[in-house]
Parts: sequence; structure tokens; C-alpha cells
Amino acid sequence: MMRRPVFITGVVTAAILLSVTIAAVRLEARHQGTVIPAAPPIRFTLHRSDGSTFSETNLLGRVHLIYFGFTTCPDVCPTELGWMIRVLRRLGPLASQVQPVFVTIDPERDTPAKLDAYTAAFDARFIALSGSLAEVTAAADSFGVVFRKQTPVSKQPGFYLIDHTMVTFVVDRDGRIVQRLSSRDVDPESAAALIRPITGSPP
Amino acid sequence: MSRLLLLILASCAWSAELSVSKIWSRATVAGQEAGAVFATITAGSTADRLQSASSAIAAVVEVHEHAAGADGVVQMRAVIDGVAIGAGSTVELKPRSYHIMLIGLKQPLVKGTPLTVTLMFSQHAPITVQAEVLDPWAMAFDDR
Repeated sequence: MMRRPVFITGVVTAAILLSVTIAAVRLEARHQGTVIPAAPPIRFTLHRSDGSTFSETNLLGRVHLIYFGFTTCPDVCPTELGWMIRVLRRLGPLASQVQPVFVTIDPERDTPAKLDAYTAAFDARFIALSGSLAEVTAAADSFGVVFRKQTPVSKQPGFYLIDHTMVTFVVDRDGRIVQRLSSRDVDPESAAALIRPITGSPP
Repeated sequence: MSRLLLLILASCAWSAELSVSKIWSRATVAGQEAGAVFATITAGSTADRLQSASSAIAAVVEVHEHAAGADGVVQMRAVIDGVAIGAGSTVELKPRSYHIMLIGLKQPLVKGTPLTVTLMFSQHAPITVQAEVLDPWAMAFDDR
């Protein structure tokens, strides 16, 4: 006889728990629908070719287009850097508000002099960044860039390529990643249209 | 009438020949180890296959392909079996696709200075061509 109230209490408790859970899930869904979860802030310490430090604080106050690659990359990197230049051209006078950045993922082979010459061949406005392998890896992790040195398969001794994420990050004046674009998916005109609104002066 | 037939036959024989056009590359800077050559290849009346390539300007020349994973990670890999070109079909070696990779450049590729490359096929005799060296940011033969 004592079993029934216990059973009923159990059912009621379960029902309450279930409804609370459903409400929580709904709230969560609504939250996800309206609020974009804040991306973890970018943190990195890299170096320009003159040895000066360049970190996330250097991104403040200006829009940046940031791409991770390497100079021995024969197809993908020239394609993406070429695309960045075309995006800057489409921005017209607003391009002065946008800083293109090339970060090497191959600090072993990409010396500062090589990096400078490489980026300058594309556009003198590029900032080339490097660091120790640990610094470069930490920076890549912060942006969500994956890179893996290929097992050398070429007949050229010691030669290797690096598989890597082909994404150009658009970082706003507050140092937040606001777009992940690529020449594979977005033509320069559309990319410029996405970037144009964030180049303006802050209110 | 027989002369006309001969003319038609002759033009058919001409079009049946494999052809390579729009051959181009991108300029490199001193110290840059690798470059890429792009081209448009049209097979003749028989299917063919671009097997390999060579050039005096590089230590090693390989035919490569581009592959992109869903996670945005891209890779370039040597093509072992070559690039198939169906009879009468055209294959374009272009950015983010197939390319002839120059590894161990002996000197930089200079814009405006043509580059000699020999292409080897499974059927057709080797063809030696001149690639035009364009800007580092060029995306196509006509992009200049």
C-alpha cells in the first residue's frame, strides 16, 4: 500500500525533471539561434622580418586579412595571396584600412629575407610573420589552422610539402575573427562586399 | 570531288594530333624552391595520358594534383598514374587542380622569360614547349 504514493511521487518528479530538461534544451536552442557563441580570443606572439614582435594587440584598430602558408607552396599559396590582392583592389580607397598578413607555417625553410621577398613580389603592403616552430604552431592553433608536414615522397632529397588549411581570416578592428574566406569559395568582389562594412570608423 | 575528300581527310588527320596550348607559370623570387607549370592539353583521336615532365630549370619535375578535405585542409600529391585525357577531350592544368611541379629550382622564374618544359605521354611522342612566365598572382594564361 505504501508503494503507490512513492510510485506517483516518482512519476511526478520524473515529469517535472523532463519538462525542466525540455525547457532548458529549448532555451539553449533559442540561445544558439540568436546569439553567436563568442569565439575564443586570438592569442599569438610572432615576429616581423626585422625581429620586432607582432602579437594580437597589433591587430587592434585596423582590419586584417590573415593567411597561413609557406613559400615553397607552388599552387595554393600564390592562388590565395593573388586572391587577397584582388580583394584589396576591389576595396578601392578602403583598402588603406585593410592590412594583408602572411604567416609562415614553415619557419625552418622560410627565412625572414625569403619571406619578405616572397610577399613583396605579390604586394608591398603585406606584413610577413614568422617565429619559432612552437610560436607558429601556437598561432595556428589560436586561429584553428591545421598544418601537417608531408612525408617526403619526392625524388628530391629532403624536399617536403605541407598540407594546410586554406583560409583567409578577416579580423576586425577589435581583433576578432569575423569571417573565414577562401579563394575556393568566394570571388574577390563578394569578399570585398563582406569586408567593406567593417572598415568604417567605430561609433 | 576526290580533291575535296582529300582535303577533308587531311584536316581530320591534323585535328587528330594531340596539342598543348596556353602554357604558363608564375614568377618566383630568389630562394623559392618550387614552381608550377599550367597548360591546356587536348588529346587527338586516341586517348592519351600525361605521364611525366622534365625541365632543365628544376632538379625534379612531377605531375601533381590538388585535393581539399572538408575541413579546408589542402594537399598536393604526385600523380602516380598520370593524367588521363580522353580521345578528343581537353584537360586543363590550372590552379587548384593538376599542375606540373618544378622542385629544386636552379634559378628563379622571371616574368617574361620563357621556360622550356618537355611533356611525356603514354601514346604521343614527347613534346617540348615554352611556358610563359607571368606575375606571381596570375590565375590563367590570359591573366596579365
